[in-house]
Order: sequence, then C-alpha cells, then structure tokens
Amino acid sequence: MSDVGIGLTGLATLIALIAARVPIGIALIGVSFGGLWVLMGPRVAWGAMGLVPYQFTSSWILSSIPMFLFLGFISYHTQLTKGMFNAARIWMAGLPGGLAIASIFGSAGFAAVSGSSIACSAAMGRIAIPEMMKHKYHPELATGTVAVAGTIGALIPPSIILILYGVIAQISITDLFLGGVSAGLLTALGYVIVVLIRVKLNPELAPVRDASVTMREKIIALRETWPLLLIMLGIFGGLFGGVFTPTEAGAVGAFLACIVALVTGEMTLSRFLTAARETLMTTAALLIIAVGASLLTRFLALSGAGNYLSSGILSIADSPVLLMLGIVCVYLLIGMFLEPIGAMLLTLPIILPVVDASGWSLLWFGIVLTKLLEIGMITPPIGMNVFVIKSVVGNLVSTTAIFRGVAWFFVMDLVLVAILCAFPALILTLPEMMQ
Amino acid sequence: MFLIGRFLSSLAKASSLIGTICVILMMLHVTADVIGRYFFNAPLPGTIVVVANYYMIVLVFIAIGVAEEKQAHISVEFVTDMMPKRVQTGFSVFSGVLTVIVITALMIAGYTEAVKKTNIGATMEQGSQMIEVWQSYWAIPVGTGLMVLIAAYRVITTVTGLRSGLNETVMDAELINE
Amino acid sequence: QDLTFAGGWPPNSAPTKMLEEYAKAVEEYTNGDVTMRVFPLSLLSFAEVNAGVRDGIADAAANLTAYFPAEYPNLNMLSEFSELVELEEFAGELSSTAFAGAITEYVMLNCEDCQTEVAAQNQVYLGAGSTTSYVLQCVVPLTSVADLQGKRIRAAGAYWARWAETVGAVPVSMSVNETLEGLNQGVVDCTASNTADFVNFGFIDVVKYLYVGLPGAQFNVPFTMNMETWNSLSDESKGQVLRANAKLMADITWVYIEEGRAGKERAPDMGIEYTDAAADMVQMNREFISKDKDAIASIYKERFGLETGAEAADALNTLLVKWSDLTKGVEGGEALTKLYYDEIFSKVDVASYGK
Ligand code: NA
Ligand code: NA
Repeated sequence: MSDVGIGLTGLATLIALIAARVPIGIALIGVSFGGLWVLMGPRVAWGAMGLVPYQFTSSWILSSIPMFLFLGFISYHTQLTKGMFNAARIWMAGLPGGLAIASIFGSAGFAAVSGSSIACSAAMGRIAIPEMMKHKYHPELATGTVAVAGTIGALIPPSIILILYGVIAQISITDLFLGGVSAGLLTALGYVIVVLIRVKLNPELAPVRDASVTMREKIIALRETWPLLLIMLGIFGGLFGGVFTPTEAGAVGAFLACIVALVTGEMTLSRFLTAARETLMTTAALLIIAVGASLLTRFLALSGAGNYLSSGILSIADSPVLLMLGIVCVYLLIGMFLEPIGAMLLTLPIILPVVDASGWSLLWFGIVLTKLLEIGMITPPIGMNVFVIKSVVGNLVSTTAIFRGVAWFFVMDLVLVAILCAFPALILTLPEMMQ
Repeated sequence: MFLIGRFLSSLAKASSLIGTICVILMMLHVTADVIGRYFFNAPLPGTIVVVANYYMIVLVFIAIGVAEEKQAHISVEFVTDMMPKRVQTGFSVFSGVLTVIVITALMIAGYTEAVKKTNIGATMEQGSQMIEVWQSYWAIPVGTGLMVLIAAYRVITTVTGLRSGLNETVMDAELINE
Repeated sequence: QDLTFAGGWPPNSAPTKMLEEYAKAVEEYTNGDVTMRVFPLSLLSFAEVNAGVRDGIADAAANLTAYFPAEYPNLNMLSEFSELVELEEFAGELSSTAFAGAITEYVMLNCEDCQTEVAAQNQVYLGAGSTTSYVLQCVVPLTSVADLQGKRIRAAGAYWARWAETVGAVPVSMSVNETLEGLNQGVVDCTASNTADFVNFGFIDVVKYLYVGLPGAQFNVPFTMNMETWNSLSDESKGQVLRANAKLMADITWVYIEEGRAGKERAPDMGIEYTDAAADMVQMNREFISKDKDAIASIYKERFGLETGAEAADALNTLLVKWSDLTKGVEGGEALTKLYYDEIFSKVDVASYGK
C-alpha cells in the first residue's frame, strides 16, 4: 500500500472507531500510533508516543485553557452570573418574548467570562429556563433559545476554541478575541430577531407578562450586575492596560472572580473546590483529544494524506465561493457528529494550508470557523448544548423537542455565516482599529 | 472484586486532589507573577517553565485516570445508541479493551522517556536560571497507569457482571464537563 | 533514499524557503541518490526536534540546542560566546557570518566533547547557522545607561537575562509568540531580539526605537542528522550532503541578514528610530562582555562540570579573528557557501565522521 493509502486507511479506521463509541482521544492516539508503526516502523511510533504528549501539553499558552475554565466555573457556582440575567429580564420585560431575549443577553454577558459554550448553556439554562417555564413560555422556545445562546460563549472572548486556533494558526490571540466580539454580538442580535419573529407569528409561545416595571426597579436590577461587570472590566482593562498577556488573563480573571465572590459572600470552600475539580476534569478530557489530534497531524504529514486531501479540496473548488461553500458543508457535516475542539484539531492540519493558499485572512477564517463549529453544538444527532439543556430540564422536555426549538435559530446561523463571509470587515474592523 | 474497585476509586480520589491543588496553585502562581512584575518590577523567576512543565503536565495526566473513572472522556454515542442493549455492551467492552491497549502504549512510552530524562537530569532555562524538569516526566506513566487499571477493571466488571466498586456517580456539574 | 527534514519555522517564511533550497541541493549534488522532504512545523516543533531526530521521526532538522541545556552543555556554552562579536574588533553587520564559521569549524574539526555529546543524542552535527546580533527593540526611548534602570526587557535566553540583571533592568520571560502583544500593550518595554525577528514577529509594527550594539550575542542554529540515517549513506553521498549543509548554514545565516536589512530599510517610514545605541551604553556593554566571558566559563563549570570554558573562549576568539577576515565584505549566500565548504566541510573525513 502507498503511503497516502496508509494515511487514508488510518482516517477511515478513525471514523469507524469513533462511531463505535471509542473515546475520541483514544481513537486518535491509537490510529496515529498504529499508523506511524506501519508507515515508519516501531521506533518512530514509540518515539512519537513518548515525545508528543509531554511536549504538546507542557505549553505555557495552553495553560490559559484551564484558567479560563476555572474562571467560568467559579463565576457560575458563586452565582456571579445571576444578576446579569435578572437585569436583562427586568429590562426586557415589556418586549414580546422578553425572558427569552433576556436569556440571550444573559448568555452574551456570561460569555465574557466563560471560555466555552457548554459552560454558558449550562449556567444560563439553570437560571433562565425555570423562569420561562414559570411564565408559561412554550418549552421548545425556552429550551431552544438557551441551548443556542450558549454558542455565543465561544465567540465572545475569552474563548478556548479561539485560543487553540491562534496557537495552531500562529496568529495573535488578542486579534482573534477582538474579531470574536463583533461576531458574538451579531449572533446575539440575530437570535433576538428570531425570538421576535417567532413570538410575532405565534404570540402564544410567550405570553406577555405584566410589563409595569418602574425605572427604579430597572436601576436596582442594574446594580446587581456589578460583580460580573467588575470581572470583565478587570480582564479587559488589564489586557489593554499592559498589566498582563492574554495567556495570563485567565488566571488573573479567576483570582479576581474569587475575590469578588468573597465580597458578595457567595464563596464557600466547597464551591471553590467543586469549580477546581470541574476544571481539572474538563481540561483532561479536552487535552487528551488535543494530544491525539497532534499525533494524528504527524501521521498525516508523514503519510502525505493531509496534502493529498487538501490539494483534492483545492482542485475541486476552483472558485473562492465554491471553496467556502465546500468548507461550510464539511464543517456542518462534521459538526453533526463531533464536538468542536476535536473537530477543529482534526481538520485544521488539512484545512489551514488550503485557506492559506487561497490568500484569505487567517483571522477572519478563525472566527467563521468558530461560528461553524458552534453550529455543530446544536445540530442533531450530537448536539452538546442541546444535551446540556436536556439534563437541566430532565423529563419535562424531550431531546427532540429541544432540537425542534433550535431549528429556527439554525436557519439564522446560516444567514449569519453568509453575512460574515460576505462582509469580512465585520470581523476585521475591530482588530485593525485597536492596532 | 468490589474491594479492588474501592481501592482504585480511592487512588482516583487522591489523584483528583493533587490535580485540584495544581489548578489552584496555577492560578495563584500566575497571578503572583503578574502582580510582582507590574507593581514591583519583580516577576517570579521561572513561572513559565513551572506552569508549563509542572502544573499543566501533572493536572492533565493525573486527571485522565480520574476522568476515566467518572466516564468523562468524550465519545460519540449516537451510532451505538441505535443498537440493541447486548450489542451496546459489546461495543463498550471493545472500547474498554482498546483504551487499555492504547493507554498502556502511552504509559510504556512515557515511562521510557521519563527514564531518559531522569538519567540526563533534564532542565529548562528560564531567565538566567536553570529549572529541573525531569521529575514532571513521571506524571505521564503514573497518570496513564491509573487510567489503564481503571479501564481494565471496568472491562472485567462489565463482562462478568460483578458489582463495580468505582465511583461513577456523575457529579452534578459533569454535564458541564461535556 | 528519501529523507525527511523537520523545520521549526512557519510555512512560507524565508528560512523555510532556504530549507527547500537545501532539499533541492541535496538531490542535485547526489544525482538523486538522496532526496529530502521538508516539513515546516507540521512534523516537529523546535521543542520536539531533539527527541524527534534522536528517534528518527525526522531524519534531519534545525536543532536549537539552547532548548536542551542538560543534553548540550558544550554546544550551548560555545554559542553563548557569540557575545564576543560585539567587541570592537569583531562588531559589524556581517558578524554572524564570522561566528557561524568559527563555531562550526571549532565543533566539527576541534571539539571532541561536542561530538561526544551530539552522538549521545544519536545525532551527527552538520554545521550551524547564526541569527544576526540581538538588539534592543523598545516602545520607550533609552538614551543612556541610566535609562535602563527598571525597564522590563523580554529576554530570550540565559545570556540576555544575565545581561538585563547586570545592567539593572528586569528580565521578563515570555514566549516569542506573545512578545508582539506584550510590547503592544506595554507588558514589556523592550525585547532583546535579533534584527530579523524585528520583521518576522511583527515587532516592527509596534516598537518605536531600535538600538544596535547591545545587548548583543546571537542565537545559534545547529543542524543535525539522525546517526543511523547518516551512517546508512554511502561515503560519496555523505560528502555531497556536507556540501549541501555548507550551503544550508550559509543560506540561513544570510537570510537573517537580509531580513535584518529589510527591517532597517522599512523602519524610518514607519516612524521608528533605528540607531546605534548611545556611546556610553555600547562602552558599558563591551565591559560587561569582557567580564561575562569568564562568567560563562564558571557557570558551565559549576552547572555541568565543564572544564574547557576558558580554553574554548580563547579558541573561538582566535577563530573569530580568522573568520572576520574571511567574511569581510562577503556579498551573499553563494560566496559564504564556498568559504564554509573550503575551510570546514571539505576538511571533514567522511569515512570516520559521525560513526
Ligand atoms: Na467566551
Ligand atoms: Na451536532
């Protein structure tokens, strides 16, 4: 068998193993090890196994991942996020579907301290869904909105996907973060429009509640948002004020969150330890996949299969529009089954050279890619955000119903991707301004 | 058999504690470095090397065994979920056996590398200082070793149907963990 | 025979293009008996190169030995002596070509300990390129020695950290990928980096001042090959690979000079003050170097038990005199290649080298 043949066989085996419920990290490591063995012999296979896991993991820049996770978990467990939703709820009280809109804004706010969309959905799900159910919102609208609003968490900085992308594509993480802000806000806006349209078409989805909220109440509600605002201010102020680097921002942010939670009186030892333990588990689960993907990169490089596939894509897609359409379809398809970080690490070795060769901005592509990967979080059959919400609501709402509730937003997501592709300036303007 | 499970579970608990301490120390160490640098012009020497080579390595590799116990490693269930229960059990045994094989390979490779690094006394340079890093290489064989034991134990209890002594109860927040 | 070469530079960067030239040269010189595939970053990162070539994941690579202090004490001590090129008799735009020649000649023809330590990593030393000299690239002005007090300076290695401590500045460790943002946001005031990285890592977009003449010293870029791979080559092929490696070290060293020149040319239009450091600073730096030369020897003696520090410093000093003379006014990679080949690689005994 030719080297490329070995590489492609390895990829096919990988897909089969993942479908057979082998943990993704194990499948990646196993296929790379076996593949390198067949391709280069046992010595190289053993060498790579000894070398890559340590070298990949012992990365200063990747250390921001556990720290941003920690920041998010602390904020959630000490209820620093609650005030944000409450304020949004009171300010949106008069709007049709006000609570649903509030949960979108609440998610966008939480997104500014949380690095992943799952944490964002979980936190907002537990706060916002009971509230919506109490006000007789249609379960599909209530759950669908929160599931989808969580994806804003990966666009608005900090974002674990963007950090990993920056490391691999070798571009500035600060620039990526700035690019993510507009994409995240645009996404929030798009979702709000979906809620407004749906409620307009069918007012029964979200019964209008008593809208007599006084200005006084509104101001009081705003006051409760200070803990989260303070942390956001600390992080972004410190970043742009030369106090710390993006890598250090997670640790400092987590520290700040601890202080704020101590002040609000919500910090207990058990909450602190729970947050740390969850950070530990999530980091391990994510990085073992990243290690596997890093090994797979070497295997694909040495076999030539990576080159073969990427030049294949380039030759089929002979215009930029076709190429982008192809990339969108590939990620929608992959996103149905894989979780975003694994999907990204798996595909970047093949896709990045293609993007680079076509002369697109790597910064712009990173944001569009994140958006595409996050769509995968809400599409069946594997939609992590949907599953998170399902576990929040228990038997009250079926998984299928949540997927139905999400469908409307999925259409908006496709529109948003088209907009971001048609107007790259939406993403690139902010990073350029800050230069 | 049950007692073996309890024993493995307590090992996982100890590992989890070590990892938790690493998370907390990492936060404090980086914050102290930032404060020292910004306010006192005195960064903590060696922060980057210690964070990357100690906290990161220990927390990831010590925790993969814990994640194995809690079944927190990410996999894709949708294909197997469509199959009958018996077939599903078959797949989970297959996946457990493969986990044991792959992680054993990782453990052997990690052990070999750790021995090499120990013999040479591997160090890293940060600033004008040298920091020994060879010790951290041992986190890989230790952490993967625990993962192998737990995965193997689960395969055995699944096949024999014996009562498992592992603590698999999903923590409330594990859904956040994906 | 098809060999793999792992480059740690990003794809499309100038050094990577030189690696591709090298691969072509290997094929051409050996009449196609040996071919070389270059993998920029996709196969091994710089941090992985040593173990990667040792175990044969790649056959050859640019092995930045400074990343592996315990494995390469001899080579690293020698490259710290690159500070000597800042002394008055050696200083100049082309000093890196002289230092690359001096260190390669010393290691390949005169340094038994160096050969032993490379062999212990299952590798063969095949010459070393050199970056241009390290200069201060700052967002704040530094007009005299006193200005250095308390300035946060990103230091890429031991020499620069030691220098910063001695002159009263604060050495900050930071990965090179973060340095641009660190400078931009003022986390650091200056970076001590070579004049090519000024362009390559985008520092040119944020720094306002660049001071030539301090802290000095150069980063060494040794090239190594897996020992079994090397010895699987015929003597004939080995000789031709050495020819190609003379070209490689010349090209890499020269490409850094060219990038440095490009940065210097662009700087004025970008409002950057690109000048020689103030006379008192240069003077202070030379005094530092003449003392530090002995400090290096004693540091490596204390840490790694090396007894050869003083002797090596003298030898390199002598070789630098020779190479400064040889490379005076050299005009490009081709002329350099000839010098390196005639003076060093052609004198290597292919039958016994790296066995
Ligand atoms: Na976020
Ligand atoms: Na999906």
